[in-house]
Amino acid sequence: MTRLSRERLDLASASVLALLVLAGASASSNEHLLRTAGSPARLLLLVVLGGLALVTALRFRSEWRLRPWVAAGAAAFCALAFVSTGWAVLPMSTLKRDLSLAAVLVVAVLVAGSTAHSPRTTRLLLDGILVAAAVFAAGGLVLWLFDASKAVQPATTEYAARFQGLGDNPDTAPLLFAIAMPIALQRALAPGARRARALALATLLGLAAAVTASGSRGGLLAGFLSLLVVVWLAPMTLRRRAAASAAVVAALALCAWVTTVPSALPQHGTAAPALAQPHGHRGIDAESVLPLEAEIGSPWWTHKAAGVHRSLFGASSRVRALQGAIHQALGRPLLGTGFGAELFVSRYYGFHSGNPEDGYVGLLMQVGAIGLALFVAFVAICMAPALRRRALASAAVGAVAAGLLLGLSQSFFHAAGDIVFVPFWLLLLLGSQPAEST
Amino acid sequence: MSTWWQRRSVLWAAAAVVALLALIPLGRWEARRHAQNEIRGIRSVLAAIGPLDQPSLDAYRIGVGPGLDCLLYKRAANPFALEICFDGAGRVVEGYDRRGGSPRIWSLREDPSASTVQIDGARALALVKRLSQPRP
Repeated sequence: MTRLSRERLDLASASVLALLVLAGASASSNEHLLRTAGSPARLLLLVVLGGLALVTALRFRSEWRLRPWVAAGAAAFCALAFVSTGWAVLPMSTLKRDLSLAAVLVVAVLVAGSTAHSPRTTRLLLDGILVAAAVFAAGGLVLWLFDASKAVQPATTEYAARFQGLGDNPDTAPLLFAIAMPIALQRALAPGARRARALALATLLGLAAAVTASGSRGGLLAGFLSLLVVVWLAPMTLRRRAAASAAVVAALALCAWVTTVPSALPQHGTAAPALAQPHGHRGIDAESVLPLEAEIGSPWWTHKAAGVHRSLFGASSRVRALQGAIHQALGRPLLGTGFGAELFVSRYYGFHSGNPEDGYVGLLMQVGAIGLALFVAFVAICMAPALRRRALASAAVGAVAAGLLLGLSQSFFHAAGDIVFVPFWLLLLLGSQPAEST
Repeated sequence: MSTWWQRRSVLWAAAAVVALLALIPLGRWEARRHAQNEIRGIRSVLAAIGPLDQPSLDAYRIGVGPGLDCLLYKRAANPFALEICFDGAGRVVEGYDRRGGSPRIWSLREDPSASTVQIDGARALALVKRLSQPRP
């Protein structure tokens, strides 16, 4: 009876987690209906998942475990986020972000604790995330079949056409897909029914195809490099490991090349903006000549023709923005402007984002070097045992690695509305569990 | 044994709480220091500009960022050499010095209320309006 209850609870938790991740993805969708349904559903499902995790923890109290250092790390980071309201530029906004982080961490701790002695629970939860990603990818494909104009961002002079599926933009869904790719690979490599492994492999290929079609460089790199983590941690001979690693690297090179095949629209030699264009007014409207949001790197300074061309390795506008963000963060280097208050001022030519597009620099801006160090320490505490013992939860660790790599090109560690906010924190806690759990 | 552990845990937790609370004054000090640095830079731009209404005033911006208006002054061949941006209350929130090869920027855009640099808002707004009017 007790066993059955545990199985039912685990299955219910995994199903709710799948729905929660799907709701989070829907909330980041370009489809109005999905977006309006996703946001409230996400909150409700988080509460339900927390309730199920609490019931499981209470009912199977003796099996619930969490390493004290992991709990201390989570508590310390969360506490710093709350305390930062004391010096935050926008205290109410910071408080809202704090509450979101705390809610997700509490649920993640409750869920992860229940997996300490139950590899089956971990497997089900990981499957929940994988299923959600696969369903979102399949939804994007269906949208493309019925209305390609909604599923593809048209080509511009800057970008080639990019597949965005159900995502808000081409970089949205690949975040979730990249995190799900190592889970799919681990399922494909793990012993089990041949049909299940084939299905996992097909899912992996589908996710990789969706990331490639999106042209998301960060997603591609994170997805494939995290596969190497899975290969590295999976129990296999050295020769097989080398062969699998080579296959992953070859697949990454192939997909990277594919992203370069579509072309951006041709640029028709846009001239550098004139030094002064009176526009028939008494004074010059400086915003029409040298907009503040695109001043740094502007052709107004270089007197060269305008135009930004995106290439596989080109990242000049991103680097400019990152340098500027770091410079801005160093204005308040120790403690930042308050958790969630990523008050990035975009002044960079060819950079179209309201945040620095880097989770680590984002945290540096919000909670300073102290907060960033605390975050890194927490991640290290969670992941250190995994790196010491190879037979660990390669899926969860691979997915966390994907999240950490995505953090280099996206700022989401603090953003409750982001598509991978919940999966990342949950996977981090799942990955921190002892070896036998996975 | 358990009592010793409990006492030790409580001590650690108390130390952590004290350390966290001690961060609040540190964070506020850091915010003040940052604001003072930016204010110093903004004042240096204002000093370089001199009077707001002068012949070198030749450009403007309306409603940039969080609703700021800006006045720009010419120096040598650069029509945008010096710039100040201010809010509706006349608080100068940003200062730009473009007299070198690249812009030097001082900004309190993330927290305009921290600026203590005040100009005559009505007068500055009138200048912006004058510049944005069509040529006769």
